[in-house]
Amino acid sequence: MMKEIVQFLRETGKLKEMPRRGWVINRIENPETIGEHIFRAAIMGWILAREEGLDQEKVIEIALAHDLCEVYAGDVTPYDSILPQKEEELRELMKTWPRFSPEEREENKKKKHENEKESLEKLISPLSDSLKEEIRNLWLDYEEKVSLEGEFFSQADRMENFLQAYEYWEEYKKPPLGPWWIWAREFFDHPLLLSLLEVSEYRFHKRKVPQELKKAYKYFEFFGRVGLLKRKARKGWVIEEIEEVETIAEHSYHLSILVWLLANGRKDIKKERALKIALVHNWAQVYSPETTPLEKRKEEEEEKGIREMVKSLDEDLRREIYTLREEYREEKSPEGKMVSQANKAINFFQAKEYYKKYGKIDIPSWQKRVEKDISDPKVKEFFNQIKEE
Amino acid sequence: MEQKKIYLTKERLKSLREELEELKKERKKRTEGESPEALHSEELNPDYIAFKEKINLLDAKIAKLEEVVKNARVLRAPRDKSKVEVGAKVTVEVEGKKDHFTIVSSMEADPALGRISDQSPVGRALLGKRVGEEVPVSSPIKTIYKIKEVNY
Repeated sequence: MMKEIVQFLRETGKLKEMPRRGWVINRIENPETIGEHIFRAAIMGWILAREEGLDQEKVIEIALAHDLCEVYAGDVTPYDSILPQKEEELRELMKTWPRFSPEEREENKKKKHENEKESLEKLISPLSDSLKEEIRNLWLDYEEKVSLEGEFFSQADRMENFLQAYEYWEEYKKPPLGPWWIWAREFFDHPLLLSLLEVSEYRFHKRKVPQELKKAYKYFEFFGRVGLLKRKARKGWVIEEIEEVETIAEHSYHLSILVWLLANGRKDIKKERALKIALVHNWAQVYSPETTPLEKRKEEEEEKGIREMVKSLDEDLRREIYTLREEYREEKSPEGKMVSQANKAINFFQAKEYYKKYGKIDIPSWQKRVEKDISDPKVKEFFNQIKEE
Repeated sequence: MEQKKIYLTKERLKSLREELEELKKERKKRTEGESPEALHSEELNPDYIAFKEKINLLDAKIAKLEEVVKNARVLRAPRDKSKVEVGAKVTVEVEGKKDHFTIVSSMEADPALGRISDQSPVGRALLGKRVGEEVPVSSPIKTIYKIKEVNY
C-alpha cells in the first residue's frame, strides 16, 4: 500500500508546479500555484470554522481534497470559453465579469464537474477503498455543499481567491478589481465572509475600519501574513542550488497531504491535531529565517517570529498554536512526533525528486541523516518505500 | 448556529421531501445487512472505514435535508408580481449585458447557476424592487442592476 501512497504523493506534488490559471490570464508574474492556494484555504477554513463552531477537522480535510482533481483536470476560470486571442482584447475582457445564458451556465458547470470527477477518480484509483471513499466524499461535500462544513468551505475557499486577487491588486495594480467586486457581491452570503469583504472595501478606500469589523480585520491581516508563506522559498533547496524550489506554503500543503494519508485508520493519532501541526509547523518563518537540518536552530528568533505571526488572533487560539508548534518541535505528543518525522521523510522524498530533475543532491548523506530520526512505524514504512525507489 | 427560515416553492419542497425519503431508504438498505468488523488486528479495518465513509456521506445528506425541510416555508405567489421576492426569476442588465437570476434562500444558492442568495449583497439589494427600476449596488465600485423582467 505504501507504494501507492508514494505514487499519490508524487502526483499531488504536481500541484506545487501548476500556477493558478486566473492569474496567468491576468499576466501576474510568478503567480501562486494550486498547492499554495490549498495551503491558505485550509488555514482559512480551519480558523473561520472555529469562529463559526463548525467541525474543524472536516473543514481542513475538505480544503485539502477540494482541488486535488486539478492534477489532471487543470484549473478552470469563468473566462475560459470566451478568451480572445489578442492581448488588448484580453485586457479589456478582464475588466468585465462574464455573463452567460442559463443554458450555458448549466453546460459549463456540468462539463467542469464531469471533468473533475473523472480526474479525481484517476488520481485516487490506486489508493485503498477507504481512502478513495474518504477523498471522493470530501470532494462531493464541497461540490454539492452536502454538510454545513461543505457549504461553509465552498465560500471560504472563494474568499481565499478573492483575498489573493486583492493582494495582487495592492501590489501590481492587477487584476482589475471591478469584476471581482461584482462577482463577490453576487456570490458571498455568509455574514463572517461578508465582513471580510467589507474589510477589504475599507482598505481599498484607505478608510479606518469601524469597531464592529475589528474581529474580521484581525483575521484579514492574519490571513495576509499566512499568504507571505507563498513567497518564501525553502532555504534548504536554495542552498542545494535547486533552480525552481518549492515554497514553504507548497511544502506545508504537501506535508499535510502525507500526514492525512499516514494518519488514516490509526487509533493512536488524532487526525485533526496532526493536520493542524502540519499546517502550522513553519509559520515562524515569515518573520524568522528558516534553519536547515545542518544549522543550529535559532530558538529565540523563531519564538519572536511565531508571536509576530499570530499577534492578531485571540488568546485561546494563540495558545493552541504555540502548543501545536511545541508538540512538533519537541516531538511531545504522538501527533507532534508523527508530523515531525513525516516532515523529515517528505524532505527526503523531495530531495530524491529534485535529484531526478537536477542531479546535484547528495542522496546517501540525506538518507543517513534522516533515517536515524524516524521511529514512527507508518512514517518508517513510507521512508523505506522511498528508499527503495 | 441560528436557524433561518428557508423559502421554497411548493414543488421544490415536495421534491426535497421525496429525495429525503429515498436517502433514508438507501441508508436503511445499506445498514440492514452485515457490516464489516471495525477492528482488523491493531488497526481499523479498511473495509469498515470505507463502509463508514459511505454511511457518513448519507447521514450528512440526510441531516442537511432534514434541516431544510424542518425550516422550510412555502412561498406564496406575491400579490404584486412585478416586485422581486424570494423565488423570483429576475432578468437584469448589468454593464450592458443581460443576466438571469433566481433569488433563493441561502441553502439553495448556487451563483454559478444564477441562483443568488437573498442574503448576498446583490440579492438583498434586488428584494422589493420592481421591473424598470435601476438598483445600485455600491462600495467600493458602483454597479447598476437594471431590472428588465420579473417572473414567478
